Amino acid sequence: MIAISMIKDAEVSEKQPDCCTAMRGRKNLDVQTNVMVGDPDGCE
Amino acid sequence: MLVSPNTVTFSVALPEGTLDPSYLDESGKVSVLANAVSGSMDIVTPAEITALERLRTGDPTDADSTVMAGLLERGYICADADEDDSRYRSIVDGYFEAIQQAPFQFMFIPSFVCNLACPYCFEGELTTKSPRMDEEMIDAAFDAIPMIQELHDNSGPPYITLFGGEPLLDTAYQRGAVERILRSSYDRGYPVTAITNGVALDKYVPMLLRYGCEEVQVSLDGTPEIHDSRRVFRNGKPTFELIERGIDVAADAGLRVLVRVLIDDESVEAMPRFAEFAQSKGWIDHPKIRMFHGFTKAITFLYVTPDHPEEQRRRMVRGDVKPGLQESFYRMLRANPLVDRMLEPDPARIRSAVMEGDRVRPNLQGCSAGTSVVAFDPNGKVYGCPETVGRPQHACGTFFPEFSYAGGYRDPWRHRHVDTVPMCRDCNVKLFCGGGGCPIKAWAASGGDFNTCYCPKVSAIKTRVETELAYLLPMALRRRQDKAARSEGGEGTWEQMTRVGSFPWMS
Repeated sequence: MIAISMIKDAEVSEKQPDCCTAMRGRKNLDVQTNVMVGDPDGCE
Repeated sequence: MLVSPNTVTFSVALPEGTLDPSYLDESGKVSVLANAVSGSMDIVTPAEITALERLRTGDPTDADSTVMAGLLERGYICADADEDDSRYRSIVDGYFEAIQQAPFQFMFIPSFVCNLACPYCFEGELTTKSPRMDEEMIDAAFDAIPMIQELHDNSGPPYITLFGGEPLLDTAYQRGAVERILRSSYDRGYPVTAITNGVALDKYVPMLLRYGCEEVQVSLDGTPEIHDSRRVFRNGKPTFELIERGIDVAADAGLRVLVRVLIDDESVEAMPRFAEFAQSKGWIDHPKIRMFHGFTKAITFLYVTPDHPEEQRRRMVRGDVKPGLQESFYRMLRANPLVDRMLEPDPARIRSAVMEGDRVRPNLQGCSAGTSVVAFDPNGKVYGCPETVGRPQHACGTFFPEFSYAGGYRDPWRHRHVDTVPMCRDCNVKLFCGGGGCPIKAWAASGGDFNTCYCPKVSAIKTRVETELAYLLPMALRRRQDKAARSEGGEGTWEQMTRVGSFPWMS
């Protein structure tokens, strides 16, 4: 088993929120919401 | 022991030699387990997958205790179903509590008019002739903000986004309307952003700065040649240089600029040349500029309502992205690291987990338009989704001349998430898609029920994650190998760094 994510002491970069795309303020939630930036191909 | 309901197995094709052959299955692919509740993602051996699958089907497993302990520790299997469910539940509840405090986006459309004639525009015919928001209407929209937030049980800070049509038209009316919206926002302490075509952005920068606007978003279609063959003025004149100037002026003045790079079959192969252009401009590493990609979409669903005949609904509500475009996009990326650095694409939203070891983030609600976005149009109507503006069949209320809000239409939409859509409830991929796809599509396709799924196909969601994994994993594993080699070789240590030549002043 090779751990890819949820690595202890991982150096995770701080993501800047994007206001135009409704992401503002949500970066610190423990979940992500579907935003235009985060989901550029939309809802398929 | 049982398999956690949110454990997903992805099957990923990696280039030969990426991993030890013991990780490959019979088809030559590797299995990747992920669980968005525990946040884990691991490459696993065929033996580990067999142990998990036997547990899933209830067959006795002869896997050794180390395998089972590993799967348990990473949250792929659990000893207590209630405890596992309670972890899932706390994430769902935490999300909805957080959403109630989260910022609420209010989009103002002073008019639908746009001076460009992009062939793929989702507002289409609306942009040639439009009513305008007058002062009374603008004030009414601001008055509606607290009422809408109350109806949404939202106490987060509102913020305003100028939208259109083209909000930053260089006309007397538009300058007046935009300034009134900016001033009203400033007076109330609401932050402002703008989504603009960018052709007159440079002229608006002083006004935007005066009222504390934080961010603008513009779009480019790739290289000047491709861009100017379609993102043109109504008389056919080109726009690339004007937008380029707008980006430079805005970023240099301190505005944050999001550059959306539109990609389709026509422009995908020219992305490497565009990335070189962006690098030569200093955009890729500019602290105020962020570039990201979007695909041009099919929009026929906007014209469908639940009362259309079923056959028509089925035909018009369909996928957005042309088959094959994702594949050609990733093929181009593999050969062009500069494009990857420019766009850092992440359609499946796993990049940080794969590349940085962050946790896998669950996606509980497919679209923010359902919860904390509202658009005010110049007809006095309120819309829940900015892509549906100007189509009265999608309006969910009015803000002028009177305020009204269609709770019966809006509430099931607002509360729709991975658990309210029956088809999603038992789907183990739901936390990678948000549950049920686009709500407007689900509503239209089903004949008026938001709590249905317009999921393209579960396989499509899996494919999206697998495609991105196939792209990211080789880079992530190579990065780890390099890091390990550096660490073993003493690279990066003080001894290494103080060798002559490591610091400019020592050479």
